[in-house]
Amino acid sequence: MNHQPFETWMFEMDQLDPTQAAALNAHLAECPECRRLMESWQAVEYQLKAARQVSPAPGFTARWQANLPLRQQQEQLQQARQWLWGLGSTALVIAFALIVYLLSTQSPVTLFVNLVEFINGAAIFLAQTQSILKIIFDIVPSVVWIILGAVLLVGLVGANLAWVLPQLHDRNKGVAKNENFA
Amino acid sequence: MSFAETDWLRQAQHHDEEAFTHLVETYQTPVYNLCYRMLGNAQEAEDAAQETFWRAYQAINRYDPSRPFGTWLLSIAAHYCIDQQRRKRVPTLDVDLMTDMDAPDPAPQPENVLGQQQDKEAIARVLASLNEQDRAIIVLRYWQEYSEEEIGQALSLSVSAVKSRLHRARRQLAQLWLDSPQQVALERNHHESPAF
Repeated sequence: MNHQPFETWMFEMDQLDPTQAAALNAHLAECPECRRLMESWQAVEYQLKAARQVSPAPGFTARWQANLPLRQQQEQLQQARQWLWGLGSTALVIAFALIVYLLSTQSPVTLFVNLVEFINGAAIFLAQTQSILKIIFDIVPSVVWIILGAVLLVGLVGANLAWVLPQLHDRNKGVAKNENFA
Repeated sequence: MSFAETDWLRQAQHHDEEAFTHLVETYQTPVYNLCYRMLGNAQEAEDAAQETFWRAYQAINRYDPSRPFGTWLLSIAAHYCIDQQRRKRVPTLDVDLMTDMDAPDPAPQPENVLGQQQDKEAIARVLASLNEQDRAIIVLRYWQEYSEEEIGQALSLSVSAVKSRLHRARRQLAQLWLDSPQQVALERNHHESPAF
């Protein structure tokens, strides 16, 4: 027996016109296979419509609030990690490109000699800088260093506050808005 | 959507944690219910619902206010649960938990309680047999009472795809119900019972 379109119609009862509904009923009366399927679907649909929404355990919102700072911290860490990976990869690519460029413009021996000369020059520069700093430390009295240290400390604290205070303001802003709203 | 929700949404889009918390409070049940019906386990549903709100919190600036917020939120939940199920591949729905946590009948008749419980278990079992996307369609259709258009929006499917999958899922549920052990036993008892 051909079960179409009745097998389709029995799952779309709410979309049938009266003629289609009558044709389906006539088919169901003479087709036990479709009748069993239809009865089965009606039982399932009844169960689906009778089932209620399940709520989470009490305190769901409190758990959300409690987890938020941790999630934000993890997100920041992940972003920092991604940023470092990106930076590291870029540095590696640049270093590789530089090595390829240098090897294509000069022989490996010349390149090695130039590298040793560069390292040697850098070491001399560092040694000279150290000597100059030592002379300056010997000349300038210790009071000046204390004042400079204090200025630096105040500057750092000020910069930190300038970064933290707007964030605290933003965090409290929502609470104030909701208090006004309520 | 109520005026309060619109206001919370506007504030949440300006990184207002308190306003977003109001949205969590408002939508926790539909989100949790979807996760629970999809995953079938209370702890996994809790984790999935929390993850849904976190993803929504991160993406709140990309939310289009012309769309219903509930649909957007359930879309995130459904996609997350479908991904979780696909990652696991082996269905691990805890049918006992799923039926235990249904709200109790306000006036249960003692003779019907056992039958109702068996029916709930059977429906949870057949629901668990559907594939992830078809299960999401059934949950959105029957627990959220979403139209085919809304289901399409939530699951990024065309209306014709939703219709076709909904029909397939209903057909499969009916067939599974017919083949369920409880139904088979019922039919066997019916045939074996003495005719007097």
